Amino acid sequence: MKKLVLIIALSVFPFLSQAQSFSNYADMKGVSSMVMTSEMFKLLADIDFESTDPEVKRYIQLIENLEDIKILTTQDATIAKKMETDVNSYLSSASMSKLMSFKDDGKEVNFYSKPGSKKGAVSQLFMFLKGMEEGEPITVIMSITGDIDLKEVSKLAQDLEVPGADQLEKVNEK
Amino acid sequence: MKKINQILLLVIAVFAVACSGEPSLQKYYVENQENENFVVLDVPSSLFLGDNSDLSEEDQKVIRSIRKANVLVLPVNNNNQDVYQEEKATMETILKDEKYKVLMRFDSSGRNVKVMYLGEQDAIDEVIVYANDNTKGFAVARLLGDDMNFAAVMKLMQSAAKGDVDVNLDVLGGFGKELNEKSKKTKDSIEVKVEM
Repeated sequence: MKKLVLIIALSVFPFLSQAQSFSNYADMKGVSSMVMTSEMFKLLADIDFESTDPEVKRYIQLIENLEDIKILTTQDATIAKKMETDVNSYLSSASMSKLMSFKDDGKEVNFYSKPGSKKGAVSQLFMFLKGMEEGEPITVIMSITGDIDLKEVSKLAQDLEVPGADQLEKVNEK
Repeated sequence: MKKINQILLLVIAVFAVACSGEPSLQKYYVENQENENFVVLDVPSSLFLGDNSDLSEEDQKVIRSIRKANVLVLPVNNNNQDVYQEEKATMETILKDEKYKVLMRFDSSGRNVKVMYLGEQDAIDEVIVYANDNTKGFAVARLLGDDMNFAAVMKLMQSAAKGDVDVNLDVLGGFGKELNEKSKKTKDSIEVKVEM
């Protein structure tokens, strides 16, 4: 019986810890959060653009295979510190590898990814950005999950009007 | 013994029915229609879609699938803080129901927006936008219809933008204009452009 409890606890724990690591920020004062769900992407992919352009088709395929996009932004220094600590512990626990990092216009940007189903694709793309934007300190966490073709991601950035989108556009360049 | 079983069955049945009477959004609307704290607006689609009789049969079918729009607003002021907190909690509990499929969520200090729909992917019954601002109050806007097809409606919207569809938003007048602008502001910044 004790063993069973332990097994359940162990199997549930990763989910809990993962969910808790960032979801508690969403309701925090001083934090802006945005979530787009798979339901949204399913609907978007459903729109028939009557296009035979292979580029558009690939783009729709990318959207269709997205699970969710989560973005957290803060300008509060204390929260930003806490976020950084949480990001570091999350990255080491979630078996993510660094995709690239660069400095851009006073911002330090790091991209991490989790390997996907095939070459050139990832199952999760994670971005951590900190720096200054328009004279204000800003920290952004962005997580995109799904079956993501890295070649197509930069296109998504053009249509996503969110902090960090400009940086996302650079994924393809490097 | 048989009788006991029957009674038991009846009790279970009644219990089940009673339980399924969970607070639904529709019920909430009806119950609060007369409540003086709320501003409620109910508009049949014929009023804001105008005359579109010269559109193709297919487009008209899409238009007919949209039944009505309704908006419920609870503006907050110094006297109704308690009511606001209580009603906000009730509303958020209702919207937590899994049957409302969340499309998008946006939270910022003291402000949040949630976009949901009810029904199936290609047969949507209801599109719901919930917006809350702790200093202004909350609003729930619903677009109701029968098996609305998102793709078809989107296509129609594109024709509306081109000016083919007669959309008349003037009937809404200055209703909650400020609140509208406010929620628009937050939405614009997170808008995902679907035009490609």
